[in-house]
Amino acid sequence: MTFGIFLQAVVSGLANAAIYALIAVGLTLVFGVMRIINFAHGEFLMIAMYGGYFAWSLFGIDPILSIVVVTPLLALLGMALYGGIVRFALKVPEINQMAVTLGLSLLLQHLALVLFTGDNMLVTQPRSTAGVVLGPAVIQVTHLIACGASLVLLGLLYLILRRTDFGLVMRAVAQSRDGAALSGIDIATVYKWAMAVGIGTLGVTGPLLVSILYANPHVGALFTLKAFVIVIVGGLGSFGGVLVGALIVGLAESIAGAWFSASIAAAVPFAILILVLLLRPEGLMNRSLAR
Amino acid sequence: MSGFRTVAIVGALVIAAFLLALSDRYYMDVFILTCFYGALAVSWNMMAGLTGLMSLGHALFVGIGAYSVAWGASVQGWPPLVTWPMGVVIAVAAAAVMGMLCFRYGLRGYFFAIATLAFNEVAFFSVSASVALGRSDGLILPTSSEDSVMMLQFFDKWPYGLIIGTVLIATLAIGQYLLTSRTGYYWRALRDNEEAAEALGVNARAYKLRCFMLSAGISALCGAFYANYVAFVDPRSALGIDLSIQMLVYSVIGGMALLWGPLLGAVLLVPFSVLLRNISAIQGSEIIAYAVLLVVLALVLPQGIAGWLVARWRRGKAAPGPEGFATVAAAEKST
Amino acid sequence: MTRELDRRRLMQIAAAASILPVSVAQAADPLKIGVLVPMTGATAGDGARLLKAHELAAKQINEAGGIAGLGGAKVELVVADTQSKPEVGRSEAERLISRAGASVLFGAWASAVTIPSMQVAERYRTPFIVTSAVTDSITEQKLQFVFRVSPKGSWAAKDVVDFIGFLRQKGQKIDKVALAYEDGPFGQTVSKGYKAGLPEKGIAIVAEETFRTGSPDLSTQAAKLKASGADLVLIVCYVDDESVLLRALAAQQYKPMVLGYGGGHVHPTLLKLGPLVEGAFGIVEWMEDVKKPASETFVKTFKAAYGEAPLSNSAQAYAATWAVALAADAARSREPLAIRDALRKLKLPSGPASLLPNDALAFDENGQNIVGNVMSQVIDGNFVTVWPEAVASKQIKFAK
Repeated sequence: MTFGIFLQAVVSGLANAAIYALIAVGLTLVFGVMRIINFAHGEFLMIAMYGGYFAWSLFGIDPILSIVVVTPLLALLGMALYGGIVRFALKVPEINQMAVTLGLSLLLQHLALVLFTGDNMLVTQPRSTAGVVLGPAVIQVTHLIACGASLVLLGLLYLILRRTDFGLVMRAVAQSRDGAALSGIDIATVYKWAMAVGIGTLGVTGPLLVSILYANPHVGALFTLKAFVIVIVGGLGSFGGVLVGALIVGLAESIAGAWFSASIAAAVPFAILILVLLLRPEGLMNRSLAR
Repeated sequence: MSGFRTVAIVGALVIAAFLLALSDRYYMDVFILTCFYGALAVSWNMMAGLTGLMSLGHALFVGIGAYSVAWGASVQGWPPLVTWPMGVVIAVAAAAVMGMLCFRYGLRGYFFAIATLAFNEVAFFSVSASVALGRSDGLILPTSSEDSVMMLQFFDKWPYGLIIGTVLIATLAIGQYLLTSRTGYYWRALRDNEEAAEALGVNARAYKLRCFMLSAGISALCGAFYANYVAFVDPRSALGIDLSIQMLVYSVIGGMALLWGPLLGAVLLVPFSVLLRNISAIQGSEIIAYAVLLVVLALVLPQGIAGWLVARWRRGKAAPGPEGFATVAAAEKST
Repeated sequence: MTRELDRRRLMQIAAAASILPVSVAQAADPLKIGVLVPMTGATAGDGARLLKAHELAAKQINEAGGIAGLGGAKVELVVADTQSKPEVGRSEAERLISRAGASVLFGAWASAVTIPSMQVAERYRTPFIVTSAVTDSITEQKLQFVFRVSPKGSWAAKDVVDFIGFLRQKGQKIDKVALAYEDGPFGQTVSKGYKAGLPEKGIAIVAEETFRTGSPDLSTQAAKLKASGADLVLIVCYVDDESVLLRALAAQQYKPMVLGYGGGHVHPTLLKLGPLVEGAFGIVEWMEDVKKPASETFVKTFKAAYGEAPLSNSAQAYAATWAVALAADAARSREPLAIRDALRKLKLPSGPASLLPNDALAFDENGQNIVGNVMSQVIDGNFVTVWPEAVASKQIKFAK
């Protein structure tokens, strides 16, 4: 592998990492605040991707601009998800919660199949084939835009969590639900908003991704698992953890893909996950749990 | 109601179902699938519901059993008498290694579950890349149109039904025996409160390992059966995450606090999905119905259908609900 | 008195009733053929195309008076949804044979679903005709009841070698060839054939890049392909991945000749890429503009019936349905064994089943139809057959 190819792998890996981070941040936010793992996370991404696609194919709107509409839509869906299902799921044992979100994942995929058929929906624009040259490496314009937008949004989220009252309240609930309740915080409302933000972030990623990939009913499932790996490697509930996890997964996947066959490269993130689980199960960025 | 009596009744029902299915090849196929998924779910639940160890990567052991048989038969020409034990031994060894690693580092709850998933995925991709194991094309087991007991090739279905039915009943019997033994009490103690159990002198690591290895062995046996029954294994069907999820689903729906709960889940859902497939008009609508049922049942009946039935049987106890879980467990302990 | 009348009446009715069913049954018992296709799941679109072709053939056979050798019996298709899953396909194959009484089965699109289904048919001594799966080993198991109309995946290499020779003859420089394929059942089978067949004929493979289907980023693979300096890139993947790959190659400012494979390339979605895909080649089992009378008729009737052009998988399904009807006719029997024997003796150089690009539809001792592929090229936004010249509808178009 020449240096040029290595550099290309690194550049690609970094760009992917930003996108993965944006997908994973919603998952970790929901877990951090509500302690529930949403197996249907990827399906909401899929819905957002279809949103971006239809904005382009029906109204001729650039998918990036459609974010303005798709994001609030996804946020509303998140609230509906809380009110309709998650609110009840919080009362049942962990394993049942998993069954509920798994069932939801299956349901959404097949609803999409019935409504939109299994055909892939492509967005074609002039910039779909353009690339920006960085020395020996090339980054596709669509990837660059997605990467940039992800970083902006992640920064925004960070500011919200750290600097606003809203973020403070969410962090309080994440740290101690009962303590927060005793302080007079309305837990149900916080949960609803956490879900709205957690799912809403997918409303940004979806339209960005649909320019790079394509929309079909099963496209979300691929990302759910990847988001899991990132979130656990980085640390459940940790914002910084998502960045670290995404960097590791994105880079490892890309560099391994340049060296080995694709199947081996696909196993690498999971091997890393096993290592992290064995050596530091709380994640790389979380404070060490007492043993 | 003593535990042994329940298992005996369930065993008798399995035999009755087998005899009924003898009349029709298609019914026998449904019976076989139900027993297969039932045995798998029961073995999965020995870890999750009875010992508190949730595994999301159990398909790994099914795959080990299936691939051992497929490779042995198609590459070496070995008969099931050789390949079945081989598969079980490899799976048990794998569980031993994984268990020792995980428990030594104190992995619990969600983290243990995700670790098993990670191992499963690594195996999935490794097999997809392995030429010796057929890569993504999988392995086709040699089929002859001649019947052969040695190679487990039969024109009729009932010999297969007999084998998997026996595996199921044996699984239930072993499970029941262990439950009422010291091992079983330690398992449930570990499930309910691991620190307290350890403080009382229970060797958590050893007992968890034992459970893991037993469960893996049974799953591998089912995998071996699958290979001979379907005569084809590929990474998606034998090592795919879908299989692990099915075990979880049958256990949740059926009821995790009872040994035979998962079997009830399989008995209800396997024929249900087969039946729905044939009567639905819109493509994919049966999966939508199945998914909705899953979500609703998981929310409304957290103790599973079996748990709900048992709680109702003991009239006068607390109403079904999240508390029902503990009630059933408490009620079970008192028998 | 009334009672006697009633009894007599009853006996009259019974007598009449006992005669009628017998004479009606002899002509009306249809030939039941099981069709295993994915109607839901990831490959539902292809399942729908296969089914349309099967139904068209059945309709034509029935409108022409049914199967003469069976007294005008109609062809009845019994359709089962495999949900794109092997265990469901297997289960449905069981049901079609045991419950629905199918004499023959067709199926089942993907190899992973086809193989367990065909094992079931083999066990039940019922003929199974593989319409599209390309995994070589399907017809290498010495099975007695399995037939295949589609070619083996590894045969693509032979046609590609001949085509490269043809291109060189036309003055194209093709010294270095690279492979890009999805590391799954589809890509691995065909690329194996390429890796074995090309070097044998002195064509060097300078790069081999793999990716998992559904990857959003193929930039690194594209960079490595560019670095290899290949003149021609052989691609084997699903159309979704191919779109991502072609875009990545374009972003790298690398414009080699590309040659895609089968239904993963000749697919309407690919044309949505517009100018990017102009001039791309594809090797495929059949094309709608293949110059053969049976093929042209098929395309016309398919378009008239469904308002869309058929793809290669439809053509294969269509040929298979006609082959079975003709075999049942020759055997004069609905019995699976008799139909199997008739299929073995079948040789169809003309007629509706001869639309595939070989001289005659026939099954060898392994049940395999010896058929080659044709080469397509995207010219002016459409897929056009350009090779072999005997069946080409347009001249090849070169960029330089």
